[in-house]
Amino acid sequence: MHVEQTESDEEIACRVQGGDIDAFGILVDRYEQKLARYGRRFVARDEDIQDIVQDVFVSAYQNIQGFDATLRFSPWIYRIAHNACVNALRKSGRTAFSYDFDALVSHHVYEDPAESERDVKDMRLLLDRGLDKMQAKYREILILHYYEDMQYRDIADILQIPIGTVSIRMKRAKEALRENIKNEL
Amino acid sequence: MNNLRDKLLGDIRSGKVAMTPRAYFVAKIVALLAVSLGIVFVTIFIFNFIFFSLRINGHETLLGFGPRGMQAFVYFFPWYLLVLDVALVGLLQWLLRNFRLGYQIPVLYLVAGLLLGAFAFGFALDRGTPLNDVLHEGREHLPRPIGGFYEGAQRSPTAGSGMCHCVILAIDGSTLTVRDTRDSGGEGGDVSTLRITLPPNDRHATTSGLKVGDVIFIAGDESEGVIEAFGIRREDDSHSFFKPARQ
Repeated sequence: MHVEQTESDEEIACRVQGGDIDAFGILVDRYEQKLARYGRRFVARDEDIQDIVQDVFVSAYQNIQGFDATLRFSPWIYRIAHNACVNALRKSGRTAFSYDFDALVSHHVYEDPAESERDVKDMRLLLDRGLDKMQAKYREILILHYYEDMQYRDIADILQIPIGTVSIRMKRAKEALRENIKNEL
Repeated sequence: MNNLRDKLLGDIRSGKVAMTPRAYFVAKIVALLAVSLGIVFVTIFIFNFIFFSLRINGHETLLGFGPRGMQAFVYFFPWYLLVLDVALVGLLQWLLRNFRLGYQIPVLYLVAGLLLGAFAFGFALDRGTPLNDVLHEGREHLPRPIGGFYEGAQRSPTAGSGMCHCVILAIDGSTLTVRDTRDSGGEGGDVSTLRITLPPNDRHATTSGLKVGDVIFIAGDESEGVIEAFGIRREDDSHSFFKPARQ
């Protein structure tokens, strides 16, 4: 048990690649709640989330040999979850993922390293009130940063966009969130 | 007790869910790289061919003939090849997005970088190597579609088009008499003479520096066997400007 807790995700993924099926169980334990939480907020509904999470793990196991263990495991599995959630949203016809013009040119990267715990808590309170009404692309980036504690470089890997695009999208997402809440009041 | 974990591990053990072998992912990356590399080569080749086509037909000379020449250059430019190249670069950037380096670079920069790189390599290939001239000379023996490309590369200007690769027969003030070989498709065919009139004080169309026997490229407005030229350049000059003349 002690080994399980100290072993990194990447080390465990390597064991799975080597044929250790039980090691995959550890990854399921570590990520099931996180992915369910991410999916529930991103897809913005409770039904089907368990099916989506199960599909994510099935896909992760099927493709685990394609995981490069020199990179971090977390963005890799969240990338699979992102694809599953986008497909679910498309199927339900509740969102239109338009072309992202922010990915065309580079933007200045501004990630506040001094973002305090209090700032994050305040932001989460705002998110709880206004998240549902936001565009999916803005909703997702806020979820990944404020609920899943992802750094910008990890978000860039999950969404497969330049880090500058993450930065500008985050800025626009916050503005949209504040606007939503202001309109509500 | 974790239901999902137990269900997944059960499915894996029973063989219902199976791991895709590593060889598949390696083959996928190799195939992606091979296709990307193939597109890079084709893109460079097309740019190289555009430069060759402009050079061999004398169309690039039009750029030195002022606004009228520019207009004619735009008309004769092989736009379909450029559109094909841009489409290939678009496909290439889409393929490169499968790699970390590909999606980390903004789309426009990646496309611009790829186009600029292909443009530079294409130019260097045409102007720095004898590749195109060698392929053009042996075009009949080349496999398709490359052979077809080179067979259709040289399009001799037709009579009435206002353009001509001609040999000066006589110079009389601002009028030239030249040997017109356009309809014969080159030297040794039917030969007729053509009169070229030059507008006064036009730096793009002047007889200065020309002598009888010079091979010249002319562009102008043609009517009833007379070309009112808006640009003249000696073939040797255009070679020395764009590419060293082949011996």
